[in-house]
Amino acid sequence: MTLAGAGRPMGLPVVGAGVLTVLAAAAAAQACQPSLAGEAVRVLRAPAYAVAYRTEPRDVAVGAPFAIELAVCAAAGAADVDTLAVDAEMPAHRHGMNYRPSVSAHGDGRYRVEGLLFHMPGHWRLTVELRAGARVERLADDLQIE
Amino acid sequence: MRALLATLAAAAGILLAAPAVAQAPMLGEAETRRVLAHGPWPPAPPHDPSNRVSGQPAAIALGERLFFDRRLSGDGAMACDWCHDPARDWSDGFARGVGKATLDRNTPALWNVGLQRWFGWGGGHDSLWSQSLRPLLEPREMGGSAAQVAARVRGDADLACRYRQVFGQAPSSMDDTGLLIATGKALAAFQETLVSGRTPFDDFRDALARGDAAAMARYPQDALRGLRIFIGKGSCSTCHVGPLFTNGEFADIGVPFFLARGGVDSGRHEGIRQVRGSAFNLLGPYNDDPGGATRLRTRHVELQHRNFGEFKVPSLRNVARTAPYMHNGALADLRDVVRHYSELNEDRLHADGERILKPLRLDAGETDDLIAFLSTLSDTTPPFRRRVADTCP
Repeated sequence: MTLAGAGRPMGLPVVGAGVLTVLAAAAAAQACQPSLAGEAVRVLRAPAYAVAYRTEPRDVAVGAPFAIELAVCAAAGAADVDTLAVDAEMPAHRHGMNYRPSVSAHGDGRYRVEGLLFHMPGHWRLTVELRAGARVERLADDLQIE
Repeated sequence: MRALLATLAAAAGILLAAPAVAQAPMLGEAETRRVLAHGPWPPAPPHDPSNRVSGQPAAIALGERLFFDRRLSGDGAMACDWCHDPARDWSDGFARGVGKATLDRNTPALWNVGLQRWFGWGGGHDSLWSQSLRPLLEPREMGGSAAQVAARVRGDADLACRYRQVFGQAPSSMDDTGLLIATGKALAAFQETLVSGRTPFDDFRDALARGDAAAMARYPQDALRGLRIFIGKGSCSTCHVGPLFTNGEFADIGVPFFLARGGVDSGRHEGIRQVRGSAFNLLGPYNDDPGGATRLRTRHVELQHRNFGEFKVPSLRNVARTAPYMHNGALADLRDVVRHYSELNEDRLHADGERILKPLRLDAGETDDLIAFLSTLSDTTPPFRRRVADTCP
């Protein structure tokens, strides 16, 4: 069972809201490169932030816990991220995970998220919520789990 | 005219394809992936890092001895096999278990229990060894106590000898709680050996994996049609996933949760509260796992409103032999189960529940086919024979 983009090429994220805004601001965010790279890394971009992540293990199996290594960067002029949260849901089933992931910050915009588990095959939407002061930014990635 | 030609061409295609279909069932690419995901079987022998004696032959032997030892119950009248009878596929055949009293839930068969991660219909325990303690202590089941279990172990020369072999110290030097935990871990080591054997479905699945058309053709056609329903329009494999035919989690499938004695069985909602409140959970001091990976699920499991009325998604291996069904044993046979999903009462599902359950509206033939498929998940394992010598070796 592998992780793959749901009906779209790998690495192209689905941004949850404000798509036009995201596109307009993407150029600014592109100047910011999260400090995580590699073959299995997926990158999500928002107006002021970019997130890169990879799962551990790389192939996510139904019913097996997995973790996420994650890096965040802020575009020039954007405030640093105060807190980060990760969640996932199956939009078609109208339910989320049975587990609440925990996030630990490791400095320099690096985070580790543990306790994720996809308990069904199908389309999952992974959401990364960034908070910087009063600003909340949500980035999403659509994943097909088999 | 074009439609007629297309029809004739299609008919010709069917005629030409018919012999091949008879020889080797044709599954689409997605169907093939889904079928292959239900194997291979058997898996590697279960090993539980939270139980330091998991997999050890001496612990398995001790656990077997304890499993059938009636002296562990409060009145010395019943052992684990009272409800988990090996002659009944490690269940009891009753709708609801019968210990010192009639219980609220169906007795689950123990096949492959060592491969699970939550235990009990509500998942009130996070390890097999902690789950094994509950019936010993529960007044409506075996009605024992830690002190009583400890006294009987200390006072029996054979059991005391076996404990020394397994745990490296005499029971007389262990306190009651320590002995109770050790008893649970030995019982778990034995139950981990109850792995079901290969089935006609496994033979078909492996033949599909290696492209062996002749072997695939030996799989009954009605079972194959049922399999396609299972992984297709039935969406059964959304929850009954993988080689064990379960995702190991919980679901509300519209089975009433009112108790015969009044009140409700809230299922997973209460299960999460139980596991969090248990002194024997995997976050506590009795977890032997130095790496901590076994703590992950318990640490992160989230109590949600939708857990109310959710019950364990059971494995389907040997399902045809483990009637009756559902958490309360309300459905007598597989035909009742298929009818339940076919005529699903959506009003019984929580309004904020999942959208994946819809009445399947299966016709009589489809019902028969689905039952035929489920029947191919039964193994031909020989009857269980006690293996432990009468005296401590």
